[in-house]
Amino acid sequence: MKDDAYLGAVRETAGRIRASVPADIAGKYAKASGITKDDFIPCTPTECGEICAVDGSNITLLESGSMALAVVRAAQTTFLNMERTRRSITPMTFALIGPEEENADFPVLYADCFGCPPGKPLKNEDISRAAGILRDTVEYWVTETMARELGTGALLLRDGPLRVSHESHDPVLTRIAASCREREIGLAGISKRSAATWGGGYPLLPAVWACAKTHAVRAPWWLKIDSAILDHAAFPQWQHGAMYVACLHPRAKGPLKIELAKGTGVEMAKAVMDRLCSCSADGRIPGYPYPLLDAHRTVALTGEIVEQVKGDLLGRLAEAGIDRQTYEILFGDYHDEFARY
Amino acid sequence: MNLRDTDTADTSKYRLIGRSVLSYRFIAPHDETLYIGDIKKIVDRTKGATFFAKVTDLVHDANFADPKWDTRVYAEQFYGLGEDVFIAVDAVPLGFVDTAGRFHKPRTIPSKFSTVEEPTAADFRFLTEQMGEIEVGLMRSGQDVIRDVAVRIPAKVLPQHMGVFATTGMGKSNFMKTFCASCMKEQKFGLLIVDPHGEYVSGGKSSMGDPTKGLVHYTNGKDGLAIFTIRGEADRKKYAMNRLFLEYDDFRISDLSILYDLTSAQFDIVEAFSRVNGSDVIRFFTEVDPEIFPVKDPLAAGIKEGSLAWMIRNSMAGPVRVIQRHIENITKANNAFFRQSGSTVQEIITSLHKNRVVLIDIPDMGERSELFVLSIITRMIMEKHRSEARGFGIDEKQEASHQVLITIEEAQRVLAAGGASTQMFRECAMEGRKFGVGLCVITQQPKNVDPKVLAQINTFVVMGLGDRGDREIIMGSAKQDLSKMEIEIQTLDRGEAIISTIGIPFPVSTRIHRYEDYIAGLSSEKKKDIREGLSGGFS
Repeated sequence: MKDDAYLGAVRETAGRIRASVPADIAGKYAKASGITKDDFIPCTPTECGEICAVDGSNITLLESGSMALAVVRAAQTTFLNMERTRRSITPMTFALIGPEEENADFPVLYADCFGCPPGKPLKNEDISRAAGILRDTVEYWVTETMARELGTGALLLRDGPLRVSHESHDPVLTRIAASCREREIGLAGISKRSAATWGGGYPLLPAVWACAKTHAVRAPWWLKIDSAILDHAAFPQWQHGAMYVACLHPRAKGPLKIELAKGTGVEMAKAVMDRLCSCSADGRIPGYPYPLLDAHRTVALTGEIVEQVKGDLLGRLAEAGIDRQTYEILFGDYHDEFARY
Repeated sequence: MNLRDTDTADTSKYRLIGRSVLSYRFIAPHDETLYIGDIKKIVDRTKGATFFAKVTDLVHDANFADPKWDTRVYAEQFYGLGEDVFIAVDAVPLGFVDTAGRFHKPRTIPSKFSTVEEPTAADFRFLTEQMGEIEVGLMRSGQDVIRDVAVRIPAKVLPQHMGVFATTGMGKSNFMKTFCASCMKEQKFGLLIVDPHGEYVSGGKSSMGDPTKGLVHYTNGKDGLAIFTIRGEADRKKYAMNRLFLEYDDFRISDLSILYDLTSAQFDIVEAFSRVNGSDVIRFFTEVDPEIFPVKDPLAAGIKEGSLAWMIRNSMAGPVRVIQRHIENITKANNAFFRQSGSTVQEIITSLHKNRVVLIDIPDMGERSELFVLSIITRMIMEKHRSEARGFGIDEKQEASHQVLITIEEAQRVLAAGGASTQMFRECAMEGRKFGVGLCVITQQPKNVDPKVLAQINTFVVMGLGDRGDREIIMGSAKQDLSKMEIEIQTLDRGEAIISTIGIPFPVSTRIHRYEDYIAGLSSEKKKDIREGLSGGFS
């Protein structure tokens, strides 16, 4: 039997999404930004040289009403042209989120990474955000380490924007950008998705993609975005990058948002884009820089790892005197039971 | 905080990952050169055992969840391809050697992740010890041979029948000549070959057109060879060959049934004369007028009771006329060696009993003559061995029997299913081994050989069979499991064989010696001085 209310809700939602990505989004964006076909700069594949990608991973291992246990780690993988030369990873770090208001493990982790206390404490109220900040901490540490260790002229890629999500990371990213500048290392933050909008809510990436299609621009290409046309930016003082959109392969699923360190000139930007294009032709994910995929595969906390860690933790909890029933009361999830039926 | 470099060594390759007692699997780099038939050594350091396995299949495989990763149009460039893309290798276990160096059938499984390595000749010492005497080639592993591991078929199992299965051009003649040379050298049993093409004696041209040598060129082994021929005196003297003669009394009318398709009326005549001497039968058909048959009144026709004409008095004229024509044909067509009296069959049998290779050389005589000679000699060997067996006591029978192997080329002619007319060869296949008589069945079409005969064969020499039906019948009949080796059988090259025999613990892939090279090697060996044998006796 048809549920009219349900169908109506589906129709309305689809209509709202359609309204944010109108049929003439390309024209609207061209009008708002003033971009023309000539603004799309073609990539010229070149030697990749040394490229290092950094990524982090976090999972919430256990969660009770009052606290959660997060596990975080970060990894880097470095390639010289198409050959991996080094791959390294941090140990898995455990952090309790709660029950206190401020995270007790954050200052310890931060000091362990950067040798000083964080400028601002981390609140536990949003478990997911707190876990993300903890992950960012080790990820920035790895990025800073690589900015020191890579050779001159290398390219350092980060999975995500060049914008911190917590105030205490701002000096770290500032140091990273300075170190890269000093050692002539290209620094790029690459995002598969972007929250950036223009014109009061139109998403940026589909608009640029539609423009390229309208002008029949053949990938690979890149384009600098004028930040003035964007709707807003939260904490602009934490923003360390200038925004670009690029489609790095003719068979790419879509464009990427790429941030290069502020002050990067056109020539340097072109050189970085050309190298990114050159390392984005892997047959598995054309259009995405392969070193970042490799970093992701290196760092990912897979279900297998999670089960192993959970098992180890259960054993230690039992040794510490927490029996199975207490464990279930603390961290048991009825959804696990539901899933059995 | 610290940043640990991950181990870059790839330990996932060349270690055992699967799967059961009878099926092994490991992975190898995607660009590795591997071949079907490669033999690998699996070293189980936990159990202290070394397992051996033969590669039976190679497939490209990957760790990727996306099964179509390699078929997309943009799938050209890959980073670190070798980490996740590999060759999955299936192998069939051959057996294992324990810490004491004893070989066992594969009744257990190696420990998980046992290392897969390349074997050396020293690893096959156990096999060398179990090999027999009749050398035919070198053990093969994939495309290469293992130099120090000669494949030698145990002589004691050969009279339990041998099958040589190969299509044209796969090196069958070369194998047989190499086999003969080995038999001449070892002299462990008598081997009979009837050659209607004259190629065994002095060679000729291979199916590829290359000149080949014959058995007479293996001069060091001449003591192990006896040739009976119809060639002229000059040739006989040059190569010390004997003149071949069969006499009429060697012939039995039942031999006709092998040479001709007989009707039941003709077969009745053959049965009636089954115990009559060949010379009497031939004389009768030379003199008789078929038109007198059927004989209504024998007395009036002057036919005495008990005479040959009386024995077939009720036959019609037609069948008698056909039998008469058949007998006239075989006496005329074979007059080069078939005569009233004077036979060399006893000399042939004596040579066989002296464990020589006996070559019946009847060049240009055709298929019917070949079968005629073969059927007469085979029957006489069987009769001789049967009578010998009857004469021995229960305990001495086995030891006393002579061992003879009779070669039948294109064996499907006389060993096809349901052929009552070829009963004598069938008897030889079914019960010959009780009397020390074995058959060397050579055929291109094993599927046309009676499966009951194939079931009696204990030694299989498989040399490349293109026909699936032929391969299946062979795999179903061999005493050792060849089912996992179908791809290898299919891809056997000229001069390569898989030898499966009850004397060797597993089917062995073999590169057959090139006959000319083999006899050159044998001829360069120092011939045993006769005084060596005498020195002990006179000291």
